[in-house]
Amino acid sequence: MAEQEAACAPHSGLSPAPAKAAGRVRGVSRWSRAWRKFKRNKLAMAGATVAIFLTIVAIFAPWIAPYPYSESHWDHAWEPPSWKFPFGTDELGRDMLSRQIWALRNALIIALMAEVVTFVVGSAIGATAGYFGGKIDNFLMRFTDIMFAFPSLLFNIVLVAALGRGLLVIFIAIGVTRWTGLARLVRGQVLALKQMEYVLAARASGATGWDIILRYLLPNAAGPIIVTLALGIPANMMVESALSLIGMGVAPPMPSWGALIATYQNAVLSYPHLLLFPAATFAITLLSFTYLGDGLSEALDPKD
Amino acid sequence: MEELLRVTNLKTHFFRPDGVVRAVDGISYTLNKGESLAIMGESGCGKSVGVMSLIQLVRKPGRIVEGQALFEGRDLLKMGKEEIRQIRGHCIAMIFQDPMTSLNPTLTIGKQITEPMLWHNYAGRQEARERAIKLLAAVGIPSPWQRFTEYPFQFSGGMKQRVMIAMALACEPRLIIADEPTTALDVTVQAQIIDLLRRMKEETGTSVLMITHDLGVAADFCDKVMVMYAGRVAEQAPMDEFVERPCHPYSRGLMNSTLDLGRLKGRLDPIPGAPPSLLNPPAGCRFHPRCSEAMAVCSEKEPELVEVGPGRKVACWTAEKEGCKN
Repeated sequence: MAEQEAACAPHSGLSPAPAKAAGRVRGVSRWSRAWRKFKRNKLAMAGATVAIFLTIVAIFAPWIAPYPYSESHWDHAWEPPSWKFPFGTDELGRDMLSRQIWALRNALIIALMAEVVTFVVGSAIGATAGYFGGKIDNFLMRFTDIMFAFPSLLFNIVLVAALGRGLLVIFIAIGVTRWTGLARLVRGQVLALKQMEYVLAARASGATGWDIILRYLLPNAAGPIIVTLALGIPANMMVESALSLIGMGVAPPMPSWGALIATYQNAVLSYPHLLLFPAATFAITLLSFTYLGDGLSEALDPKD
Repeated sequence: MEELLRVTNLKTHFFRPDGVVRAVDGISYTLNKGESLAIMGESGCGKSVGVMSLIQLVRKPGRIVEGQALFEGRDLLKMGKEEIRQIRGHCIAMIFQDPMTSLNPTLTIGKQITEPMLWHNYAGRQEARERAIKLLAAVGIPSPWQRFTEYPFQFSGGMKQRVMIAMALACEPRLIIADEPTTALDVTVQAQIIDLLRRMKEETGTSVLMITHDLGVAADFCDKVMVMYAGRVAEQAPMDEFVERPCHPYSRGLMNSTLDLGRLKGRLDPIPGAPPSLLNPPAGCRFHPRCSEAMAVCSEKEPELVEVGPGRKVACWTAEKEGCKN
């Protein structure tokens, strides 16, 4: 800055700051309002409780699972549920409870990391397109259209087939096919928000483009973004299971719900626990995350 | 008095598919340090675009096509992106019309006041915080240390406009542009805000450019007035002289369509017709189709802005011929 002190006359007449009160009261943010609304929604709270429980189980899987996921108990093969093996055992005598805990862990890691990829790619492309507009917008959105039109499961299969069946490859593969929806959403939000008076006001007080994107546009679009991301978690789990179902998911002996369900669908009459337990735990996981997402979308809805 | 801002022949046009809209078409004025200038005129006459051009915040497809705006000797219109960004909020601050929509709903009031100071390296985090609380107190917000952490939705309209004023004052700007600062407020609050603005102006010695179509507010607050019509300057005058005897027929029209409670008139005299399309303005004087005193020359040649007295300029053929009447 050139003439910092020259012409900006110092303020002399401003009244002195009043003495600070003893206690400082914090403002009620929209987050605490949303939380209050969320708490009233019983289904969402149930979903959130189960989802948190499942997440803790997934994080501590190595300590919680009673047996290693690939340990065989040869004298206990094909056993129905018992005290020793609460969900029974499979054809190799492996504990099905432990395998499902590990399946949960894999599904959650993949779903969450794929959402991280979705968030980074989707919001970066959407925000850039919406903010700059014009040719950049046109180019990025046509690219998004192409990615959207691509059959995503096929794309996942190709990627996994080419790069291997590691966790990293799978979540990146899912992430790069699922960001298009978020990119469109963020672009729409940014287009609407950048017309807001407060964005102009920020610009008029010297905000840079980054200040505006990071402090004004994205936070104001946070509600819909969070909802989309939350509802994306169960969707990603479905994709992961679909990949496992056709044998393109995590490599065995690492368990996956899709693989468990696919393997034992023929054994449903003779050994029903091998299909029913994975199907039930999978369904509960999906439902809990879906209700959590629905609850969030209701709590963060600005039209209340 | 020292000159702060000299705008010469500013032209901002909007290049639309259906033609060029000459929203601001060659306006010139000066503003001295500590002075306040009211820019008046009907909606769409180019007031806002004219001042937004000064800090290069004209929305596409608008573009500044010509002119000069010397601010302390430097041309604002020729500045690069980074240079003008450092001017905005630091040397020239703005107060917007609608306080309800001019604050970011996701940031606390405190953050919104301190951030411009951080953007401009005006103060460190702690200093900025202290100054923000001081400013909140100065603009009349009770228990500022508490309000500092609150969000805009917890403030009323008048309180938000006070916050906007605090924000504008944060970096001690030399010029404050107030774009209809009281239009969105109710009348009792309007008076408080004008009082506050006046106090702040006196305490800090900043100059003010106030866009308004409220003659009462303008006459109360400003030293000088500039009346715009269809993107051009119709009249410039010291405020007291202007209120005494407006010179341009359009200015008189504005006066006659204002309520005057002291002199209970039977009815208001609105100016007939509507402002012209700036896509295709009328030939000659742009006001002549609505002017009760129009002569033959008015529809042929555009009048120049001529000096009719000290600090008084009028663009009207009647004034050019016979000086300022009535």
